[in-house]
Amino acid sequence: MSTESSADTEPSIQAPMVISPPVIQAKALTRFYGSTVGVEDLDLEVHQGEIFGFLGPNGAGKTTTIRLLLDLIRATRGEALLFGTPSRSPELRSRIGYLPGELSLDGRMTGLQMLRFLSALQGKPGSGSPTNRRDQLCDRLGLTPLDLGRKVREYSRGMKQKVGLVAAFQHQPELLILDEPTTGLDPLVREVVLQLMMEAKDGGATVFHSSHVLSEVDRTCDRVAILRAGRMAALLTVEESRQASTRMMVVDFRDEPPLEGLAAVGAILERRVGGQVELRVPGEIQPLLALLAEHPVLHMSFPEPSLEEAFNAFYRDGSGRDREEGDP
Amino acid sequence: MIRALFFRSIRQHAVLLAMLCLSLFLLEFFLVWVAAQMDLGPEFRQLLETILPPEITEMIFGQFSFSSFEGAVAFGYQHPFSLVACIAMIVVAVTIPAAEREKGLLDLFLARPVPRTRYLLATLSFFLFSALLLPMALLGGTAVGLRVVDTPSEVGWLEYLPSALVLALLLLSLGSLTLLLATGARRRGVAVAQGVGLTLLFYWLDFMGEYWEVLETARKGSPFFYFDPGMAAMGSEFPATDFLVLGAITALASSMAFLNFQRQDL
Repeated sequence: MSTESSADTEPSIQAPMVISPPVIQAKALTRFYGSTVGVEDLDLEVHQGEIFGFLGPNGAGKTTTIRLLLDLIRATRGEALLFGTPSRSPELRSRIGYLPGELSLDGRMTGLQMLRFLSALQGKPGSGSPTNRRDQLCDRLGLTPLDLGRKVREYSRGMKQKVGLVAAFQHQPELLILDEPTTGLDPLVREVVLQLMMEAKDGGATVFHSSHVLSEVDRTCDRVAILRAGRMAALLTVEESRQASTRMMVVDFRDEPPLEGLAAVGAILERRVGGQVELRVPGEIQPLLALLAEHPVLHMSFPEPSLEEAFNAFYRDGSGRDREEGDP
Repeated sequence: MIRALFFRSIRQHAVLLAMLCLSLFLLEFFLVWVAAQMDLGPEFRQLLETILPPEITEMIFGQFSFSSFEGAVAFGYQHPFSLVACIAMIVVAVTIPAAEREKGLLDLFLARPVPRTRYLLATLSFFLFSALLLPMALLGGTAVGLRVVDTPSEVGWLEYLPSALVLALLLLSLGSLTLLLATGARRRGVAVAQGVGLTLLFYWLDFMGEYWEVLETARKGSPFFYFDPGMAAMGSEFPATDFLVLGAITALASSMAFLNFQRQDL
């Protein structure tokens, strides 16, 4: 029996495998503001076609990282690469759509003038007619021609955010860097924004989604990086982050709550007011649901955990001590 | 993209620029008319010497070249209104980067494929445009004035081209120095204050240096020392040294502004 592999026997007819570099790559990326840490030793790789969630509380270093990636600020040490090229190259940014977290637009321009101006700065138009793409985006985000004809200074926060979103998406970039993209938007428009991100991913684009809103990250992202005090605290798939997080649950029992039974299924009682209990449910929820099915329940809700709660749940074990580095 | 940035600046400052140009044109036209009406001969000087302190008279006839019709016309190029209006416009133009950084617009613009050098080049283009346009408005006033008003002299408007150019160079040198400061400023107010402060310091240095020996040498460090539109118009030879020094200040300060902006955090 021959032990030669096909690669050994037919080297000339195989096309060389092209491995594209990560769309975003940070190598020990560090930025200090005086003695204050912006980000420190950040290592990160984001691949093509991925929606990457970037989570962290205020001051964790999310915006600093984004500004480093876009060469708006300079690294103290380390390196940021976009499409395999150092991020200082301005040409790279024709492939990027960026929405800043604190969006500022020129109040003296109309929405349409602003979009045209930003499109002119973008230089290289994406595939398809940029005007058609812009019209489609405006239509989907609920920006009417009347709105676009008004001065930006008359816009609400949400309207400005919509213009910023159109500006980020209008040239169909290969990489979208979106810092809190749904801020100030109503739930319907938020939904459209999440759809646009998913569509961009389906079209082969990469999305770097910095957010505070866990449910949005949960719905859209493939992987999530959690930043704390300028350092990468965790890099997880969304599934892992779900398992790592602790759900909160509020249950209204018609009768006396079965406290012993709740403890037996792993639910931790946080608070009790009469028949209403607030529970922390780490891990599997199925045993708790089975228990609840045996008792008359008036009402049940799952409050969205705040980012802080999620972080607390993630960083603390059952005894309440901080998770040590190297702990599972 | 430089064009987009340049025309945006033009659109946003068009009204201010147009109003200043019109004001300067009218001021210079008016000065030609006034100079034509006045007898600026030796009797005029004697009259002023009887009613004004000798220092003021010396300033009027020395610094401001008021001793003839030609000198009085050239006075428009160093009239306090002209200087304040031109410098104000220049300060507005060169502090655009600081204003856009303060508003957060710079992030939005430079996150696009706009090299920092091109962004600053657009600012520099608008600044250059303004620094040339305003003296040309004065020159326009001179030209129209000399054509329309019945003047006691045969002097032609082209004689005042060096005056307009030396004013443009003064604006360019002061503006470049302010641009250098503005590229490091995070707020326009700070950049404006620094630019105006520096201009006033230079003016004071030049003014005081003429009368106070201690500052005589230091005076040569002020761009105002090389600014004499009266001499530029009526001097026997072209003031090449003044042009060269002001041009060199402009080139050096602008280059340093580019380097400074290139290494800044935005």
